[in-house]
Amino acid sequence: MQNPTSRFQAFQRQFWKNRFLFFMALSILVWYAVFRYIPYYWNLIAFKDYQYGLGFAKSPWIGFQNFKALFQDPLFFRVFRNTLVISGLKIAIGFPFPIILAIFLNEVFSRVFKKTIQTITFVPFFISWVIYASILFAILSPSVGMLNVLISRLGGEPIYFLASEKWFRPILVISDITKQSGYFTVIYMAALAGVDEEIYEAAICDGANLFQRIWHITLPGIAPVITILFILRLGQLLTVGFEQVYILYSPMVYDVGDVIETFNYRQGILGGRFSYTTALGLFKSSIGFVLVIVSNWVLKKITGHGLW
Amino acid sequence: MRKLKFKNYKLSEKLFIFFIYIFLLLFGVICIFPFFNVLAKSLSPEFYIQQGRVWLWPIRFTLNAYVKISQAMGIVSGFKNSSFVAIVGTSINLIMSFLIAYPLSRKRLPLRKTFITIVVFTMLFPTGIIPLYLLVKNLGLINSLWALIWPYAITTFNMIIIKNYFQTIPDSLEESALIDGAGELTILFRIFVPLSKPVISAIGLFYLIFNWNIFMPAVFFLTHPSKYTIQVVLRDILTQHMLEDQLPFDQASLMTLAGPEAIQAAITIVAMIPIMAIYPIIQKYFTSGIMIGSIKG
Repeated sequence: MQNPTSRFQAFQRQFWKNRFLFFMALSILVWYAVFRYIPYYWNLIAFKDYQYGLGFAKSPWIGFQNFKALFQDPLFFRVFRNTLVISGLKIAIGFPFPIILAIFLNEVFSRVFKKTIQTITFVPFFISWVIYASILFAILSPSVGMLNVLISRLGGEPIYFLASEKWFRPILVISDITKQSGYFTVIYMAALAGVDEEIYEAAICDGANLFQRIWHITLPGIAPVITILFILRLGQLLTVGFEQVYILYSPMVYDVGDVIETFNYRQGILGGRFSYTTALGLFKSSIGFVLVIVSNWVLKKITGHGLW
Repeated sequence: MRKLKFKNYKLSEKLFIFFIYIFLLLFGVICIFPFFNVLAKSLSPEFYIQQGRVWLWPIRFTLNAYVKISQAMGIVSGFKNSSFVAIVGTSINLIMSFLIAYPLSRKRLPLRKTFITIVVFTMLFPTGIIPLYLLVKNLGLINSLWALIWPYAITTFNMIIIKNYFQTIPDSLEESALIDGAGELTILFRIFVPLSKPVISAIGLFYLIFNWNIFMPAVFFLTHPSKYTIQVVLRDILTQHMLEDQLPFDQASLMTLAGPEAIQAAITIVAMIPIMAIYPIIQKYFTSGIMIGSIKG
């Protein structure tokens, strides 16, 4: 047993020996302090009546006034509902989709076919939402869009998809799937590459059919990755994706498409309501934080895999 | 691949495999056709696009739209600004990630646990965008391209992947270098970085793509068109039909020449070129690099 003084001395020795390493880390921690922890501290303006002219220190404290105003604002409920519905749909449909794609690709015989599909579906992930939106416009535009031209050739009425309250949410969910699925498919495929081919062969010898092999070998093979990605995804429950919504929406579809992030941008940065939108941002971040912690704990209990 | 051949499959399994092929083919087509459509539109005169006749192949091939955008000031400066952010930003991203990943990967770092906690917390609790906006404003970075670089200098997730990879490099390597009198920086850049090429290539590509595509901060922090990145220029063209300000259109010549749709398509293609140019490298390094990093984490 060491006594406290000699422990401290040991630390001092270790510190002196590794001082350059320590200062290297510390210099980058300055960046973390400025660009991550100062903004955390400034979240406190959610409890102030922040005025830009007065600055942080001089703006008066007003307690939970901003949160009260927020939870009484009918616009907040519209935005909160849209966020939950769109994000919920994206998780319900968009999360399993790449898992299905990976399982399907895993059963394909032709290497060329497999590689081609993977390459094609992987590309859109690396394109920015603005460019992708421009491509979507080229398909969905009521006058020259590929889809609408097809609809009118077949004798239908062109649909103004992005201005339609009925179509806006499906467009968000579908375009999210076509843009992002390929990326997650590659991750699942990489996990599947680690599954020993002999297990499949043994299963075939034992008479397991295709569906049993998928259920008992393929799925368990990617289960840990599914768990990790699911925890991370759940933490993003209130994040719909600013870029996608911002570039696709318009006042015509605010009722179904305005989400926390776009609302925050209009009210905060364009409207200057800094305290009010910081309160909303803090609400959003806190829920995300709690969701990650809780879902990690729950999934670790159930499946044995977790983030930490 | 499997020992069991397709002909040995039962009928239900054969049908399912058939369904899989159709499903994948359909999804592939849905993913890729829009790109061909935009490419075809960018190479066709406006007249045929407006008639809805351009599908997957250009009609009366022309490069007019590309010539037009090379003459538009906003688009050229957008390209320059994006290139600046991509090149300078990615260099800073990588260097700063190395400088923190290396110490965090070493058990001999004093207060290592504390440092890791401080860093990982920022991943779990997202930075509020409004406080960040106020910070950028107070630093005087509004309407500066540095506002797209400094607040995003490190993506903690990427940094952790590098750190996890560094952790697999044995201590003995640096110990002998330290005894020989090498400094920590020398060890980092002469030993650790060269040994981690696959993972660094993958992360470097990720940073590069992030920087080229960076959009939300550009919308928030850039106020003057002279500072706009190509993504913001494209936004203006899409949402506010700013094309008319960029290029005065002669209504009569629109019939044969490039018009708004063709030019929009051409800009879309041009903004994609840098990504497509490095796409083969992305494919090569992505799977290997990311899996090495994340599995070991």
